[in-house]
Amino acid sequence: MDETRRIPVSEAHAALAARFEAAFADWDADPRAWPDDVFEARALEAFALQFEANRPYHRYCRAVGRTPDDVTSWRDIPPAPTAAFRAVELIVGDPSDAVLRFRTSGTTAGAAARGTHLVRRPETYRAALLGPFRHAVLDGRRRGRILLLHPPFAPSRESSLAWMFDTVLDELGAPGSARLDLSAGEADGAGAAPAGVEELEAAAEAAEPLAILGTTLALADWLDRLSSADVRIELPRGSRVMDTGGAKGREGLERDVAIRGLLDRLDLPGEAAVNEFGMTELLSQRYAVGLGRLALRGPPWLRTRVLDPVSLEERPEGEEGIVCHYDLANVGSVVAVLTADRGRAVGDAVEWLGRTPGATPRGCSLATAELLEAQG
Amino acid sequence: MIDARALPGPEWLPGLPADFDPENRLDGRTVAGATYWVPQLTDAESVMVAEAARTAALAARRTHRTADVVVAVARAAGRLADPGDFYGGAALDALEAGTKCSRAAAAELLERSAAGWTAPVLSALIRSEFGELAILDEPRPDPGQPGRRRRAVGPPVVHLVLAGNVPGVAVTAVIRSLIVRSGVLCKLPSSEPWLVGLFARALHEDDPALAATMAATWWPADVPGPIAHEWTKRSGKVIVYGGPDAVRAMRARTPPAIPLVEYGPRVGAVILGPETTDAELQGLARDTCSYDQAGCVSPRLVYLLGMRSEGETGALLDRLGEALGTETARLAPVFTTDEEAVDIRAARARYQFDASDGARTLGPADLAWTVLFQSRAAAFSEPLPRVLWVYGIAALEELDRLRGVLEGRLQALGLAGLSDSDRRQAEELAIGLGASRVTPPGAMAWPPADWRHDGRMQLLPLVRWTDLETAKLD
Repeated sequence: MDETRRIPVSEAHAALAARFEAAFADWDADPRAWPDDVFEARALEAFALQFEANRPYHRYCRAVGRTPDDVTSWRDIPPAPTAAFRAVELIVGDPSDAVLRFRTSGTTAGAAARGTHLVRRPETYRAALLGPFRHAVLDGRRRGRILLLHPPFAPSRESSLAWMFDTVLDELGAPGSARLDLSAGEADGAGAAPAGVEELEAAAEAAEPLAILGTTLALADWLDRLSSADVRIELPRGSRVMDTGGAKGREGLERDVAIRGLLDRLDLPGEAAVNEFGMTELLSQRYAVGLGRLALRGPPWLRTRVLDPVSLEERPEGEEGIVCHYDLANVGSVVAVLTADRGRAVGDAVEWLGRTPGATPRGCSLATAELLEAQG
Repeated sequence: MIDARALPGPEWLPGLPADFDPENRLDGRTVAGATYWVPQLTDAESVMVAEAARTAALAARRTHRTADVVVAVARAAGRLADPGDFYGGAALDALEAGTKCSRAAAAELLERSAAGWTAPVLSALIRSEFGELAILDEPRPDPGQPGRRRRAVGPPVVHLVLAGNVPGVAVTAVIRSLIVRSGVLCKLPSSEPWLVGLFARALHEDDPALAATMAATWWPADVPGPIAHEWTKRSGKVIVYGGPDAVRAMRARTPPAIPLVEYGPRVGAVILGPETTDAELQGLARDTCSYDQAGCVSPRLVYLLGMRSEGETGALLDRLGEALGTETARLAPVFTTDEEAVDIRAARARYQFDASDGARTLGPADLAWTVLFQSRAAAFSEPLPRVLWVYGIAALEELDRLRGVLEGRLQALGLAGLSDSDRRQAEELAIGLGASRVTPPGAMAWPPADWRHDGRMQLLPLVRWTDLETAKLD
């Protein structure tokens, strides 16, 4: 590839992405597993495009000795480590063609090392998002009553989660749906009902299932407010509490305790809990039902392998390793993403076991943090 | 593969009552898949052990001359490096099980460490810092000042907080305290807790009175408990080796009246000129692969000086890669943790994806070694096993820009392939940055016994001096 030449790619990408979006929509209408050969063919097409037109990824593939000529299985597609999203802009074509720019939170690597995921076609994200959400949270209904505990998407904050929540609320929210802004605090003053109680009561009154969505932290904070006011409301069967993100290092917070607390206050069973697993670097999501150890399941265009961190050989089912995703919704960036997450394959699902912490320096070799401190 | 459960417990705790039964008070720690167990002591037992070591150390001052101590500790330590000896075999087993290094790497590590444990080397070290051994036994005339005698001796007991990154270093640290006549209370390194206990047992077989002057066990650094408090409080000095967290924790815990001797984290660097030979690159590879760069003397930063073209740079990088491949074939890497594997891949990814600054990555798919190059000078690196961060520089003045980062943090500087004038300038730079050693590649990882660690004497910081004046001095 001539690296000095701007790569003409928009038509090739648009055509492939449109086909994928149609396939995602077909699954939404008829959610059946894809045969291996279908996923394989689509993944290899995406890889061929990305090898040709994603400049930094092309360079990487060359460095690790992989080209479309010798990659004949989706499992052989070279995965981009999530660290690459912090180093370069990974997009098919030119970064200036990106319509959306999402940035990672920097929870692991620090704010100075936030990763960027550029999106050429929001339609692909939307198509990958809506069907799986509908089946995981709304029992397959076209629309449902939603209570969202998350601020709206702001270009300056570049949060893929906010964009996802907005899209869900806009496109799947039935009348009676609402957004709570918990950061605004309790404006009604002492004695007033906490934010959200009105929406809970309305759902109960209408006997319509309510899907409550938010980060684990936001839901835990909301639970504190409901508990302080001793709010207890019996929500209709079919209601859900969907959290995402986990405790994110907040001391003393356990996801199960917070979500169980909310379910108890809303008289919902454990099966009403849904955990969403998403990453800025992926445009598809996985979902798990319940509490405790969570078996995350995703749509057929998102496959996940658990690998030995050193050899990158696949680990047998049930053994712990690092998680590598193959997400066809990433057709505009890189399909194969190697994370720093630990996980375990369980049947067709994946258990997420947490982020791999940074390596502890062995002994008295000076650590990065010390040098960075010195660099000011 | 050796099962760690077959090894003797890492603790060495003389001074406990004969009916002490640790069975119900074991605390476990798993390192690289091997679990070891140590008894947790109560306040009273911690004090009992500390007082026993102190009493034994003071008694040994009456029964042993320093020359006797040197011979006894050298003999015991030497057994660790003798594969035919029970303790040598156990030391190999311990390193293999506890650190997952190969038996060949363990043998080399013990052999090279033992070169600094012999009686002649230890005697020479004492003479180089004190002039004679006897000054640690009795007041000796001061040749520079008639009418004055001087006596140097360590505190009755010191507290050693050890690091396990380079396993032999823990034994070396214990020996240094013993030969300045201190008893030692050791917090063992969690990543390699066995060698000190094996040394104590070997010493006990030969000289039980000396072995009674030391005690060693392990506790979680983040849950120090009463033993850490008692041992710190009862020591005349605290000597800490290790990473920034260990050093910071001991600073916070040590009462102001007790001197703290720190050997904190540092980094090694190398400057290679265009005339660098294959033998020098092989030496750099050997330094890099020795204990997988875990020591403060290990090279991690490499500066390529004055390369005349990209081709010349590329050729040197290729030769360096070949050297690392050869050395890795000879000395397999130790266990790479999952976290290290993830971090190495992340480090490689930054260079493999980003073409700016002439970025280039070399290294096999199994992560056995990695070379990361960029043409713009920087001081960024991460302490990952067998990873070299290589930067191009047109002139040594470029390193001046990095002075704020490297000053006081550079342990050893390796020099190769430089002109005489560049070498002199690099030596001055090293002195200015506070490096403790400048040496050719191949000698960086194994400094001589009398090397000034962190720029300090090895033994002098461990002792206290008493001047005895019999008349008014001139």
